[in-house]
Amino acid sequence: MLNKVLKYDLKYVYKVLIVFYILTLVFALFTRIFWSFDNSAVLNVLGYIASGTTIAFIFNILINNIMRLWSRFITNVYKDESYLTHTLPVSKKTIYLSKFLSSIITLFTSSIVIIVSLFIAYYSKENLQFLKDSLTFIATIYDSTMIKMLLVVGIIFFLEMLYLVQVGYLGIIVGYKSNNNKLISSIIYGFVFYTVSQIILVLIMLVFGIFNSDIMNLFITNEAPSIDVFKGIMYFGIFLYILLIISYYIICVKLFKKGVNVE
Amino acid sequence: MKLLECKNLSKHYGKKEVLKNIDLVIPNGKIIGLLGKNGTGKTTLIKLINDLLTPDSGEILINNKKIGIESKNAISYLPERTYLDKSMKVGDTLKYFETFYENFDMKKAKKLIKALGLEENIKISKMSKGMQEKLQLILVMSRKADLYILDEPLGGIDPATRDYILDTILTNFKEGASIIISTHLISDIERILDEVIFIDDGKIVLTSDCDELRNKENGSIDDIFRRMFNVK
Repeated sequence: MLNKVLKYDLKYVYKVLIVFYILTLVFALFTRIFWSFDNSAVLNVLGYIASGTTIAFIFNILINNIMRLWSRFITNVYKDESYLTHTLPVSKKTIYLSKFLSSIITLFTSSIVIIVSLFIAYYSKENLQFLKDSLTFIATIYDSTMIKMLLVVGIIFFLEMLYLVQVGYLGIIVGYKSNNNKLISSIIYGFVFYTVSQIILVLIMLVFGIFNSDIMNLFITNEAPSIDVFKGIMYFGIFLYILLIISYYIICVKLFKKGVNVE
Repeated sequence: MKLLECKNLSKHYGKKEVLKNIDLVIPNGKIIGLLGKNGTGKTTLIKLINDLLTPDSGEILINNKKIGIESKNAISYLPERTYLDKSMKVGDTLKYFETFYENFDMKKAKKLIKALGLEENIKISKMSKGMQEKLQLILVMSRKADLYILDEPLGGIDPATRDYILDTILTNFKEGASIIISTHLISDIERILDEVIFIDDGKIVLTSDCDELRNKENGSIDDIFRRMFNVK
């Protein structure tokens, strides 16, 4: 049943997202075309406009992706459509798992579209070389390779997005247990859970600082962290994000399995 | 055999107690009217049976099993509101039901679509509320379920079509199955009912066989209801 539920969840999110994907790719292509003419001031200006629009659409993809996932969760699980969702012969766990998987899949494709759009709009041998040199320079400082660094930053970014979506889901689940002002409650709970988990992350770091003076120095001095400490924080960050996402997933499933109160 | 059993079921909305210690047994093969004024707990009871609300206390058993995947396969539910994805076409909703419910009869659904004057390639957003309700009724009645729960099935239907809808319900439910019809339009449905349940202020105040009740009280179910609850 999971694949059937997932198919409809993805359909809902992609129905709008695909439009933004296409528009972003089209404007990226316009940027490339307009800037390929060196001797036209008009086309150069148009290139800047297309470039600005591409960047705007890239942000739009991210925001829209997250909002669309939350909107799907609310309409499918708590609004009119929920009268069908909860009467399907599907377990609550499967319904939630489908929402979680659709978050991973859509955030992944959005990331790919963003990378491809940036590549279409701004790729040139000179730009690539400049990027390579800059990243290699930074990577060398941190005793790493360019690929490794890009991978770590990319993973952290992806996990942050996924974590944000999950916090939103938890806010919605708890908010919709209220008798009144369900949507406002969801938003408030979402903010509270996000803030609390960020505080918990800092507290975990502080606890580690008790055993590691380099980490404690981050809290009690203005000194920049050493390369080893910085690398450690990055890897530890990935570990903590994964731990948070798994914890949120378990909490959401447990609360969801206890039952819903649809409008 | 007990098809549906509710034991000591209670539900609050905030401080308001909407259902109070409901005990109810629904057997196989009966058409039962769940009757009560607005806001007396009919829809809350139906939503609890369909896992749309969580009870504060008590238990619901369908075929002696707690609510779960099996019970959802056994119940075909028509809510009082339209729940279909408005961007879908009629044909898409048929496919959706066929995908999820193994007891969905596609042939019957297509036959009913034609009989009720609907078309498969129309978008739901382009259909009137009454048409959408007809479509939902077709989807619900095209399942071979053990229990059909219809919440205000005649609500948005014009009086001229009500008899046709009732006949559609009567001629399309699975043999041996039971139907619970919740409505305030008692006079329209009383001819098809075997049993009635009167609900008031979150409590079941009467459960009876229709013929026995008519003979005992010397009137129609509609009259008895009006007398009992002072409805003019």
